[in-house]
This record gives sequence, structure tokens and C-alpha cells, in this order.
Amino acid sequence: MNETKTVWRWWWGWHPEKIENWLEEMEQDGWHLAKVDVNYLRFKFEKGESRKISYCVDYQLNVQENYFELFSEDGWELVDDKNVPWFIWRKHYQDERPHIYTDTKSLIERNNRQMWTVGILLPVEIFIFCMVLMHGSAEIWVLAMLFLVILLLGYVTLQLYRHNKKLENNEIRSS
Amino acid sequence: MDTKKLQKKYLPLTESAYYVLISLNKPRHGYGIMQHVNEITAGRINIGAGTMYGNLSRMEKEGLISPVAEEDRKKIYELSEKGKTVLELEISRLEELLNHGKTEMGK
Repeated sequence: MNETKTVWRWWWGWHPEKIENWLEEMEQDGWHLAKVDVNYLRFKFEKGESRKISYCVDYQLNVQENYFELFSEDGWELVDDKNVPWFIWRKHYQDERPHIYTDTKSLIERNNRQMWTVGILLPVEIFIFCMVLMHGSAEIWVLAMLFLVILLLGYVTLQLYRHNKKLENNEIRSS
Repeated sequence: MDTKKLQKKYLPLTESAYYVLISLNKPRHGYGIMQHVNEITAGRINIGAGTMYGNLSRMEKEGLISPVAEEDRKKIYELSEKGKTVLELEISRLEELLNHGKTEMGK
């Protein structure tokens, strides 16, 4: 059996380039990505030959069937966790590294789709927190957990917003 | 919708959006558009699959293009009347830019 390795890796949705580049480097070192699970945080690799593969992360809320058709026709293969809305696509290449997003507007739109999700979760979370707080009988650790989730969602919203502003002002170039 | 409103809402088009629209003067599916654009720009513009999907979904929602058929899970699109109008407005805008450039630069 091939040598295998499992790596846990935390990453943020506003710069998936970090995980994309890391996966590409792993492939260059001969670590082929075999499986991704636990909410896209656990990566399983198998040892093999060095490969030149571009990895791209997408975020889609409701995709139509022609989404998969279009990507596969363009030579992209889905690394599936069956856990939408995140999609990890990969493709072999020779010279220039291909990317699924080729302009700034589509990167901004990918961030906007994430903001939509957070924008729905955040008010719900705040509502639950207030209800629990008013009820008065909850243990302190429950309140602390709920509060941490609110902080996390707020942080994500802020970062997505800041990242989009940078993209709009051309401070970050699309690939 | 009148001209002013269309201009304000859709112009200027991004380079990808412009090339998607001109390609859909003939019915095409997403990958067909990517190949066509690559061909006519001699490889200068390669629209990525994600950018293509985003443009097609948005333009369909906005009524600039309409699906005309479906073949093996591929959606085939064509310019709508509204899309045609927007494209013509963009072409006149680009013509104006080009003419100003030529005049000012004395060519």
C-alpha cells in the first residue's frame, strides 16, 4: 500500500489561494490529494510522483447541472466532500497555471455569495443569543460559546468586506 | 427600459462579459464560448470556467441572454433583444473611446 498522510488545515474563505497554493506544492512534492473531509479541514494524501496540478476553490449556493458540465469540459476534476457550498477543483497543466476565475468581478462575486450566507446566519445567531440571555437560566459556557460564534461570524463578514474593497480598488490582482 | 437606464445599469461591461455577449450572437454553450473567445483573441483572453459560469447565470437572470436548448446537460444560450441593445450601446461607447483616443493622439 502507498504511504499516506493526513493533515488538518484551517483556512478562511476570503483567501482560498492559501489552501490552493499549499495543495499545489504538496502535489509537486508527490503528495496526491486523495480525500478532503470534516468540513474541508482534513486533507488526506497518498505518496506518488510529483505532479503539476492547479487547485481552485469555489463557493456556490445553488448550482445548476451545467456548472459541473462546464467545468469537466474544461478539464477540471472535482475533489468531492459532498459538502456544498464549497467545491475544490483541480486540473493538470504544463505551462501556465489555469484558474477558474479570470477576472476581479468574479472573485468579488464569490465573496458576495459567502457574505450572503453569513448575512443570514449572523442575525439568527444574535437572535438565539438574546433569547438565551433573556431566559436567564443558561449556563455561562453556553452563552460564551454562542457569543464566540457571533464574534467569528462578525469577523468573517468584516474580512470579506475588506477583501472586496481591496479587489475593487485593484490592490489585489486576480490571477 | 430606456437607453439611459440600460447604460447606467450595465455599462461598461467587463472584458469577459463583452466577449460572452458578442459570442452569443450565435447560439453557443459555455465551453463553446470559451473556445470561441480564445480563438478570436488568438489566445489573449482565456475565460475561466468559474468566470464563465458566473457570467452566464447572472446574464440569464438579468435577461441579457436566454437559454434556447439543452444538449447532454449543456445549456445553449443566445442573445436576447435586451442583450442585443446593451451590446450595441457598449459598442458605441467603445467606438467613442477609440475615436477620442485617435483624435487626441493625432492619428
